Amino acid sequence: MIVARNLTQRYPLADGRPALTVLGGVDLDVAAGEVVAVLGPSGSGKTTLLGLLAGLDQPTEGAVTLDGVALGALSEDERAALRAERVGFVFQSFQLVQTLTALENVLVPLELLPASRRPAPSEAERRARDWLERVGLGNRLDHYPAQLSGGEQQRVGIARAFANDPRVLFADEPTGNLDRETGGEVVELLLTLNRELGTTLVVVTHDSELAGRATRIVHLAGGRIARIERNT
Amino acid sequence: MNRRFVVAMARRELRASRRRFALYGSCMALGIAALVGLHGLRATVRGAVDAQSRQLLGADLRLASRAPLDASLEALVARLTDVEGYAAARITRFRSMALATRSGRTRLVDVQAVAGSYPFYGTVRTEPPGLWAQLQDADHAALVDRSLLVQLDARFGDTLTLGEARFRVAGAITRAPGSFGVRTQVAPRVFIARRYVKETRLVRPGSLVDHLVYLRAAEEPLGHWLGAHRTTLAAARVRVQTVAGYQKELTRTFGVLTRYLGLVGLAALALGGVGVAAGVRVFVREKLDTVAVLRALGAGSGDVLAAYGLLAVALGAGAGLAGAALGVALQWVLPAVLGGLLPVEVDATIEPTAIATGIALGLWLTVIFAAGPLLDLGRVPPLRALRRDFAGERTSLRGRAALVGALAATLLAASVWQAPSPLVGLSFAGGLGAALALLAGTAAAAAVWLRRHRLRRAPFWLRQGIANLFRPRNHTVATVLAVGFGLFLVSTLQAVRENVLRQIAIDTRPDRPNLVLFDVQRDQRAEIAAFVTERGATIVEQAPLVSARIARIAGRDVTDRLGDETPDRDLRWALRREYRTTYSADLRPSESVAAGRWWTPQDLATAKPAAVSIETEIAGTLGVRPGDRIHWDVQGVLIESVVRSLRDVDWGRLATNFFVVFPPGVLEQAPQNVVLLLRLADADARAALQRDLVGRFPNVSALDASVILFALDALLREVGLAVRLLALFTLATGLSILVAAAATARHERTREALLLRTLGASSRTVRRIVATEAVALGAIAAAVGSGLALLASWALVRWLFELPFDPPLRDLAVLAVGTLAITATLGAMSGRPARAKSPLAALREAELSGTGAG
Repeated sequence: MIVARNLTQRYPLADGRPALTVLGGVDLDVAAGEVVAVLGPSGSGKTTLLGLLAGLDQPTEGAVTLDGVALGALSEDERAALRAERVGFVFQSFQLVQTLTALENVLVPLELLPASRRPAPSEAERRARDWLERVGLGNRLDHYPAQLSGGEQQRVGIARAFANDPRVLFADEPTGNLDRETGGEVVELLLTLNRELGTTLVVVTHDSELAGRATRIVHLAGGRIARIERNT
Repeated sequence: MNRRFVVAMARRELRASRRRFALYGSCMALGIAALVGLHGLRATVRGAVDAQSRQLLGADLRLASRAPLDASLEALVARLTDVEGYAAARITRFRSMALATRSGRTRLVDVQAVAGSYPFYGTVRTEPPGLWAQLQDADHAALVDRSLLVQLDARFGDTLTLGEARFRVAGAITRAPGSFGVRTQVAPRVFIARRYVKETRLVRPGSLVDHLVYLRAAEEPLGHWLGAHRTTLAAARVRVQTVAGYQKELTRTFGVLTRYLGLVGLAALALGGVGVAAGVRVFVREKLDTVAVLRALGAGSGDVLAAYGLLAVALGAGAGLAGAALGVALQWVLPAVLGGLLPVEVDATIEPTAIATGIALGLWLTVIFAAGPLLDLGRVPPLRALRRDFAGERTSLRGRAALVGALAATLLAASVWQAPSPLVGLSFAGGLGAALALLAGTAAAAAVWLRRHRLRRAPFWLRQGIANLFRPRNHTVATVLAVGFGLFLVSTLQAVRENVLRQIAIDTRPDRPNLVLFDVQRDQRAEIAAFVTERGATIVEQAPLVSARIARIAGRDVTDRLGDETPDRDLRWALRREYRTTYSADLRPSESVAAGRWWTPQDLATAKPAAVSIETEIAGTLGVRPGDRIHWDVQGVLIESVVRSLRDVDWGRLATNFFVVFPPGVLEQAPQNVVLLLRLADADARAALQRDLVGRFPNVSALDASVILFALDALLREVGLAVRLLALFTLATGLSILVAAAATARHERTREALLLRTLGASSRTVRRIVATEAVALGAIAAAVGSGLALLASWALVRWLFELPFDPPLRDLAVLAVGTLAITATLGAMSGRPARAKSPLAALREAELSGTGAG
C-alpha cells in the first residue's frame, strides 16, 4: 500500500550553516490492511515521516508510492485530490474546524471527494450522521467543537477520518491530548473501525499500549529507522 | 473546482463570522452610501432640470445686453412677432441700495424691473399668494426675497426706497425662475414694475445695468432665427441664453459640487477598504489552521481560495446593498442640507444607475482590498495541520505588486471618474495615497519608537498596555489609519474654513477699509468725501472707474473673433466683457508687476499709443504679452494701447482691484464714476452713514464688508455643512473600523487577559491594561491626524487660496481631544466582556467564537 525509498528531509538553516537533516534515507513498506506504529523520542522525525508518507510534504530526496501512485510526480493539488479520495487523518490536537458543527466537520471529506464518488447532499449527510452515531455521538450532531470534551472531539476526528472510506489512515499521536482512560477508548474505537473496514493504519505515537496493538512497530532515532519490531 | 464544497464552506464561515463581517461591511457601506446618495441626487437634479428647464429660464430664449437694444437689434427681435406663440417680456436689472424706512436699515439689492407677462413658463410664488399677477398694475409695489425682509428688518407694507422712488413691500417671493437659496442671500432681489425705473433715477450713463429680453416662440422658427442672427447678436455683445444652455449651466455647477463632495465619499470608501483589509488580515490569521486541515483532508488550493473569495464577494455584496439602502435614504436628507445650492426643487427618487454603480464599486473594492490577505490562504501548506509552526510561503512579490497595482489603478480610475476634472481626480488620488501612507508610516514609526524606548520602571499595567501597541498582532497602524484619517479630513476642513473667514475678518481691522461706495459721480466726489468724513469715516482708497470694452486685439476685431466657433468659454467671456478700468500713476499695495515694467513719469509724457497694464490671469486668457496692442472702445471712443506690464493682483483683499489699468492722461475725459473705500469702525455708525447716504445721494451704492463676510459665510456654511456631513461619513467609517479592530483585538487578547487573571492579575489590572492601550492608540491617532491636518490645511491655504496661514489650534485641539475620547472609550469598552466573565466561562466563549486553533 505504501512504499517509501530513501526518504530524506533536510531543512535549510539561516546564516549559511549546513542544512538540518530531520529524516535520512528511510526505507519502509506498509502492506494493505496493516497497522504500523511509528515510535521514537521527540525530534526523531516521526511526524516528518508521517507527513511525507501522506503526501503533505515533498521529501528532499527519495520517493513515496501510495496505493500505487508515485507522489513525487504529482503537484500539491494532485496530491490533495489523492488524499481526498484515499487518505484519512487523525490529529493529536483533533484539528476540528471550530466554526463547523460536529456533523459538518464529518461532512467535509465527503464534500471533497471527486465528483464521480461524491454522494448527493442528503446521502452525504446520512453517512456523516451514521459515522457520528457509530462513534457514539449521535446526540451531539449540532454541537460545535468547543462544546465537546477532548475525547468527544477526537471521536468526531475519527468519524471524519473514516467518512470518505479511505484506503490509508494516518494518525498523529491520536491519544496525545487525552487522559489514559479516554485515550484507551479512542484507541479501541480506532482499531475496531480499522479492523472492520480493512483500512491500512499508520500511527505515530508515544503510547506503548497503542504501539503494542500494531502489527509492526517502527522505531525511529535521529531521523533513521533504528529497528522494526513485528508483533505477533 | 469543487463547487459544492466551496459554497458550503463559504456559507458556514459566513454563518460563524457574520457579526464580524457585518462590522467589516459597515466600513464599506458608509462610503458607498455617500456615493449612491450624491450620484442619485445629481441624477435627480439633472432630471428635474431637464423636465423644468423652460420654467427655470421662464422663457424659450433670453437676450442680455449691457446697453439698451438699439434700433437695429429691436428690428431683429421684431422679426419674430409673426412667429407662432410669440411673446416678449423685458427686465431691466441693476444694483441699488434699498432703504427700509421704518427700520432705517439699508442693503445692496438686485433690482429686477419687469414688463410683460414674464415668466412664460412656470410660476412665481409669492407670500401672500397671487401677488405676482398684480405687480404690473399695483401702485409702487415691490416684491422681495424673503432673506431681504430679515436683513432689513422689514415687514409687509413697509416702505422701501430705491434711488429716488419709494415702494411698498407688497409681499415676498418664495420661488421664481433662476432663484437659488444662497444666491438670494448674497444678492437679494427686489421686483418692481419696469415703468418705475425712470422714477428711481438710478439708470444713468455709466451705470451697470443689464437689459434682458425674454422671448417665447415656437421652437423651430426661433432656432432658425437664432442661427441666422447669432453672429450679429455676438457682435453687438448681446449674450444669448437658450433653454438648453441654461439647463447645461445649472446642471454643470451643481454637478461639479456633487463631484467634489463625491470625492469625500470616495475617501470614506478607500478608508473602508483599508478597514476591510485590516479585518480580513486578522480573519485570515485565524483561519490558517482551518485551511491547513482542509488542505490535509484533500481540498485544493483553488477550492480554498474560491471558498474564502466567495466570502469576500458576499461581504462586498452585503456592504454594497446596505450602503445602497443607506444612500437612498441619504438622498432624502441631502436636499435639506444642500437646499440653498440646489438649482431646482427636487423630490428624491430611486436612481438605479447610482445604486448599481455604488454596489459595483463597493463590491469590487471590497474584493480587491480583501484579496491581498486572502491570497495567503491559497499558500497554506497542508503540513501545518501536523506542525503549527510550519509557515507557508507568502504570496509572491509579483502577486502582491499586481494586487497593489490593481488597487491603485482602481482608486485612480474611480477618482478620475468621480472628480470634476481628470487633474482634480489625479491630485485627489495622489493626496489620498500620500495621506494614507503618511498616517500608516507615522503609526508604524511610533510603534517602533515605543518598542525601543520601553517604560522599564512604569507599573505593570502601564508597561503591558503600551507594549500592546508594538507587540505582534498589534492594531496600531489600522487604528491610526481609521481614526486618524477621519480626524484629518474634518480638521483640515475646519482649519481651511477658519483661515479663509479669518482673512476676511482681518480686513475689518483698523487699517483696512470696511465700506465700499460705488457709482459716485465725478462731480459728487468732493461732496461725498466731505459727507463721509463728517460722519467719522476715513477714505482709505479711491479710484476712478471707466467702462471699456476690447475692440481689437492681436490684429483682429473682437466681433470677428466672437463670430468664430473656436474661442473657448473663458476667452469668449474675456473678449466680450465690459471692463471697469482705472487710471493711476502708481501701483497699489495689492499689486505687483509680473512682466514688463510699470510706467515712469517720462513714459507718460511720451507714450503713444497709450500704455496699459493687464492683470496676469486675464492676460493669459486673452493671450497678450508686454508689447502687444489692444484697441479699447471707451464708450464709443476708440483708444489704441500697448501692453506695458502684466500685474499680479491679490484679489483676496478688500481693495480697489482692476484687470486693466491705464496711466494718467488717457481716460480723464471719458465718462466715469468713482469708487471709494472707507473705514468706519463702528457698525452702527456705518449703518447710519449708509442710511443717510441713500437719502442724500440715492445713486450711490454702498457695500458693507460685513455683508461680504455674511454672504461668504453663508456660502461656506452651506457648502461646508455638506462637506462636513460627508467628512462625518468618513469619521464614522473610521469609527466602524475602530469597533471592528477593537472587537478583533478582544478576540485575540482574551486568552492573554485570561492567562493574566489566572496568574493572579486582578480584573482592575486587566481593565487598566486595556484602557492604557485604548488611550495610547487614541492619542497617537489624534496626534497624527491633527498633525497631518495642520500640514494639509497649511498647504491648501498657502498655495490654493494664497492666503497667510494661521493654525486654529483651539479648534484642532477640541477635535483631537474629542476623537481621543471616543477612540479610548470604544477601545476600552471592547475589553469589557473578557473582564466581566470568569476566566473559564470566557475561555469557553473564546473557543466557541473561533479564536482557538481551527
